[in-house]
Order: sequence, then C-alpha cells, then structure tokens
Amino acid sequence: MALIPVGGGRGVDPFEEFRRMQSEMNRMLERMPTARVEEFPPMNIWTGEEGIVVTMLVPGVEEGDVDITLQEDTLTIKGVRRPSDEGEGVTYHRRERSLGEFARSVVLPYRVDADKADAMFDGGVLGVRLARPEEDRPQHIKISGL
Amino acid sequence: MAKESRVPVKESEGRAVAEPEKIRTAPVFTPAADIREKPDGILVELDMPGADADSINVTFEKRTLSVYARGRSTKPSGYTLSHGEYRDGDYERSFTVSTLVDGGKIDASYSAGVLRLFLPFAKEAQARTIKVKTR
Repeated sequence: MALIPVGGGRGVDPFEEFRRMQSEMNRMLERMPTARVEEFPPMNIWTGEEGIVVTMLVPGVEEGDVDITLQEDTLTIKGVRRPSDEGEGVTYHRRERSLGEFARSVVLPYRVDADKADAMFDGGVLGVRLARPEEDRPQHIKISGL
Repeated sequence: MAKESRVPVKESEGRAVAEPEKIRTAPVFTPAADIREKPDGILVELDMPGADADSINVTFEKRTLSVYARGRSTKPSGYTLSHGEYRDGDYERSFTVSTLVDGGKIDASYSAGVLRLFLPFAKEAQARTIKVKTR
C-alpha cells in the first residue's frame, strides 16, 4: 500500500526529517573507517570464553614480513609493507596507501597460553588466535536443586 | 502482508528526485589507491583486504574504471568485539581514465588483499594533436 505524502507532496512530510537523518548517518558511518586511519594496520580484538582473537588488516604484506611475538600479556605484531618494484621511469599520480614498517602492541586483559597460539593469514587479513589456559577459563557454576 | 520498502523521494523545485539506497546493509568503503604511471601504462593498486575474490567486479566503460567487491566477514564465531578499529564492508571506487588507455586490455589481479590493475596505453597514438592558433 503506497503512502501518499501529506499535502500531495508539497506539504510537510513528518517522516522527511527521519529519513534525512538516517541517510546522513549512513553516509557518515560509511566515511569513517576509510583506509586513511592514523594507525596502520587497523586491528580488531575479539574476546570469548576460550580466549582472544586479534584480526588485523594487512593488505600487501607478505606472510614472511610479519613478526608476531607474545611476551607475558603483551602481544606485538610487527612487519613491513613493501612497495612493488616497478623499475625506472615511474611517477606517482596518487599515493594513499601507507608503505613501510609497522608495529602494533596490545596488552591483553588476561594471560594466554603462548604454546597454543596460532595465526592465520588470508586475503590480506591476519588472524591471531590466543587460547586462555584451561584453569583460567570461566567456570560455569551449576545451581543445585533447593 | 509483505512490507513495502520505499525509496525516499524528495521534492526539489517541483521535480521528484529519487535517492538510490543500497540494497545491502554492509558499509561501503572507498579503498585506498596508489596510482603510478609507467611508460607503457597506468598501474592502480587498491587496498581491499578481506574481499571475496569471486565478487570482485572491474568494469571499464566510457573512460570510467569502476571497481566493486564484497567484503567477507572477519568476525570469528563465538567471540565478541572488545576493541574495534575497522568494520567489515564492501569496497567501491571509480576513476576517470585518460583516452590513451586501451580499455580492452586491462589486466587485473588480486593477491594478499591488494587489487592490482594495469591499464596499458593503446599502441597507436590515437589522439591527434590540434594546434591552437593564437593571434
């Protein structure tokens, strides 16, 4: 059932403001995480009962150029993004991608088992899975019958 | 009864102008681009980490190079986000390209999250230089 604007389209539509705000919010949210972030590479930290997963966007970084170290409760991911060598006679028209070395450190909220850490690298996305030691995991307490 | 979603219509100077909405709710990002010119063509590199390689769409029409790709989710299942610096989303960007480029021979490859496009210059110089007469 089609809604006819109030006043045949020339009057005030009470929902106009809402729609305008919504589309403006959508545009703002789209613009925010562009590749021009101050921190390269951008990282998300996910927590769960089993431990922590850190995902990082590292396009153009070779697997061999990433160094992940875990010391006590600090995870450090270092690496370098190299420009592709195109030889002589090349001029840049646009340069928006940040190249060179990067290093990010994060202090984890709890200790993790370094032996069980594992990292995946796929399509420019690095994922580091850190397991919480068994004894540190939250214990579910059963409520016994009253 | 199915809900009908309406495209918002704005009246502007008597004409109704429809604002196109996205169908997908995922945000659309403009991938960062490095554009370099080599003697034999133009090299475009776009950062599109996490894109679904099968969904990458590169088109060249009327001097406009358009790139679109869907993003795959980087969310590990069973976990919640406690610190977020980026969002998952799709990628889209367009460029206007000079007429020297041979649109039919564009080479595209996607590796390690970077889409590399090479736009070769056309072999024959198609543009004829027109001398400007000055008085």
